Amino acid sequence: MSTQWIAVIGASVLAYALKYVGSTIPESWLAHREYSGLIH
Amino acid sequence: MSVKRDSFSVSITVGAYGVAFGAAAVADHFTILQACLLSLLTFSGASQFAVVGVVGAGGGAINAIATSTLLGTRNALYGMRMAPLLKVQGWKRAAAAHVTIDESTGVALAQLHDDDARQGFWRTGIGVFLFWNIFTLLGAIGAKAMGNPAAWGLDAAVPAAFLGLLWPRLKARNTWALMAAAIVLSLVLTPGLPAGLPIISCAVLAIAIGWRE
Repeated sequence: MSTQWIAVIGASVLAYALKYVGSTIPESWLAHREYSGLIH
Repeated sequence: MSVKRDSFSVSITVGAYGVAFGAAAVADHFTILQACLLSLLTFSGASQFAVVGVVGAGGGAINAIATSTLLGTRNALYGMRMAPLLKVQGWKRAAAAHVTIDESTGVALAQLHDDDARQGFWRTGIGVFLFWNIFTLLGAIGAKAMGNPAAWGLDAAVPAAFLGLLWPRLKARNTWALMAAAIVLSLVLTPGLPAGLPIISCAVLAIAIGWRE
């Protein structure tokens, strides 16, 4: 497998993993007063 | 109406920058298929440019993946911020994660009401995804005809779109001070640190100040 293919697959898998993990952080972890509410 | 307008204008502006990515990828010896897969699957502009830049400069795949991942860590922070607002599960959460990028988060957080924020997130995320991928394909196909993609000045489109989103929120003195501090910090760090660390340092600075207040 070429360098390009390894880079494409590796970068894609890790990019999605980071996005998904971030979206699964429990809301209680963001319980600071500024973060526990809604947007404004 | 303004959500639709914001989402569309950001989507088309940022999406058009995909031409530069497609052309840059092919110029750096990636195939058209590889360029398109990066846009479809990685879908994070800075990370994509890092991959083709590092490999194009003769770097290894591990270096390219590490740099790309470092740049992509900010998307995890965006996901943390957006999840309590979106409140989605299952396949919708999986889809939302994929379109969690600078632009979708930026448009969502620029809205005054939660419904508008959710609409802004989905409209911008899906809009950028469609335009970014279409323009990546066009850029990759037309790479030779385009010449040097940097000469087109498309790299200015993304910061300009962000400045437009950010500007109405710069009302309080402390946000101006934070912006100035972030500019100074990024200017100081950029020449000496690997790509990705300056932007993460600015994010940490903003979180630290926000937490303290």
